[in-house]
Amino acid sequence: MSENQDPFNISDALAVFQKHRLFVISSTLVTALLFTLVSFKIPKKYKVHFDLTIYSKYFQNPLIRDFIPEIDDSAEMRSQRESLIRQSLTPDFVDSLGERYGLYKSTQVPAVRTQWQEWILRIKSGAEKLGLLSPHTDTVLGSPHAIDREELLTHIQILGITGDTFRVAFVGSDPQIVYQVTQDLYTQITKTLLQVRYDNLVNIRDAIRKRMESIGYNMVSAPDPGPTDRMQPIRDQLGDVRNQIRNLITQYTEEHPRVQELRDRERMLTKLLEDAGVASNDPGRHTRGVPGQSTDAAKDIYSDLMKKMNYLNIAIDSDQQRQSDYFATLESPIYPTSPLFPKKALFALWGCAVGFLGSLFISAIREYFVLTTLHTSGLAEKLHLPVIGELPQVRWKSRLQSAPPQKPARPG
Amino acid sequence: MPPSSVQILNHLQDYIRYSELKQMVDRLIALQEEKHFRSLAVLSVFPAEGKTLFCAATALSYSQTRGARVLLVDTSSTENKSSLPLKDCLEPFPRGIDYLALKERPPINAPSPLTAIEMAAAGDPLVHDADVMQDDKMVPITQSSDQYLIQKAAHPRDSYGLILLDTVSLDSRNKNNLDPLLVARSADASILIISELLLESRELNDYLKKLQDPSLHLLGVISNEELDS
Repeated sequence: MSENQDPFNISDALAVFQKHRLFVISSTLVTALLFTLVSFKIPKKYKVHFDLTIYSKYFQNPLIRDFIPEIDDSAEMRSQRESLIRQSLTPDFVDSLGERYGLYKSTQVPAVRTQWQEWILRIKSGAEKLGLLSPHTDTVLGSPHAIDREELLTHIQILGITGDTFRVAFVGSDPQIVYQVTQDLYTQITKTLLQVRYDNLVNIRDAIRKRMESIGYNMVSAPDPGPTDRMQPIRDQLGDVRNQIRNLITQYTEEHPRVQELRDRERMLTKLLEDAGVASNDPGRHTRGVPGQSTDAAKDIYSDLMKKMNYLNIAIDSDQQRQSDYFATLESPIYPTSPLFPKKALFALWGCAVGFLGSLFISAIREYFVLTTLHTSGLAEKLHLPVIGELPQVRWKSRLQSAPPQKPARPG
Repeated sequence: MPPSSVQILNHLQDYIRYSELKQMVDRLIALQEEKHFRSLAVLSVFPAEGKTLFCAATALSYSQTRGARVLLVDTSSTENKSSLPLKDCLEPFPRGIDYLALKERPPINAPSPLTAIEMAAAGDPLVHDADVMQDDKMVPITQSSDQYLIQKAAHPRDSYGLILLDTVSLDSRNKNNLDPLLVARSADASILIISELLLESRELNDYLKKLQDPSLHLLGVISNEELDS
């Protein structure tokens, strides 16, 4: 064997391919076919998604800037957006999805499980008994569907495309279920976005109202020469409450908790007005205000709070009417026509690549062994002798052996 | 059922038609004209590397090609069950090919249908052609000594075009065999048969050292290697 070997070049690779072309081509075809067959057997996965943009104005409202600090930082807004989206995936909602579409394994009928899944479950339970796996039962986690819920959440993907746009996707094996679940997700997220904003505004308004009630009650109790002045804010407040009730009645019934809350407030304010009217008609009644708080200051505070509450009501009403101004759907959920995985064409291509490269590699290894194997010419070179010739390699039909030797006949 | 000698001969008749063998014999003839050798010892390191096949095929092809007589000398004294006996390859020997087996050394005065070599060896008086070292002392070559027989076999009086001496393998441990290196030194030239057995041997380097002895008169090598096409 020559010690000085030529460096490897592309022509050598082509020579190897030429020499083993049958093996390379057949291996490529066989591997491609194998991969394609596997792609038919692998459980399919479908993915449906929607793209949602949450505008910055969702986090801003000039009318109530004093109460709700606006978020200007883009990173903070992005975090808030993502938090809002994830916040919408409440345990109850996820459980409702799992039970409605049969996505929870614990709710599946045992016959639905394949033999393979049964074997896996048996192995897992055996491993848990032996202590090889940590027990992951629902009882340990304290919830009947904790494991299923956790697994279902892994099928929901939330990906930030840009600072204000997020892609929410769901991956599953049944295209119909995946599509419906994604639609439910869309509804839930948009509803949650609106509800969170509404609740924020309403909470602030309720806080203002409570403060106003407290101030208003004290003002009613104080000796005031202007009873109509004292009662006007309460009347205004009562009017406001009745307006709200009127608005809510158009959407909800009387049994709605919000409506009932407003009704209670209406009754309270009405009673206040009645008490104030009685108190104003009774000249002998002496009432005192809050010690240490002047009536004028309380009136100023009350009027200021009333103004802010009006702004809040305006903001709440405008939110109800312009819900679409705060977010936009860039892409709605679309029914999947082809699975996400496996893609048969891609699998076939991968099979071709693996077969081609693998067979080329094997051929190269074989060539290397042939080249590095010592042959007669190499040995002759070591002995400094010429190769005179070679014996033809013939496959004899039978072993070239003679019959058992016979004793030669001796001449007499 | 093992083939008969006739069948082996028929096989060989087909075998010598291969172009590789023809080219090899032509090359041998050219070397013979260049180096002027008559006796050629055929060596191999391991048994069943193709010495006997080479001897039989070359003898047959040489005699047909040149029309000259060929003497085949079997220097092995014990039969290896896996080996091909040289005598059985060409029996009945075609015209122009003679055979001599040194193991069948007849008694000096025993009458037998011997070849000219054997008769000459048997009838020669005790000669003192040379001394050789044996057991750390110089001893004369006698008629019964291996060296004498080989000398006679390698350099017969008759006019043979080629004398092929088939030897035992260098790796042979049988005490009764004639030393193949001795045969090679006694012959005019020698060649080495190489097969995968030698190429894949772990003691290759040790054997190479033995083969690099210039007294062996190695002309070249013959490949009996099965190569991937």
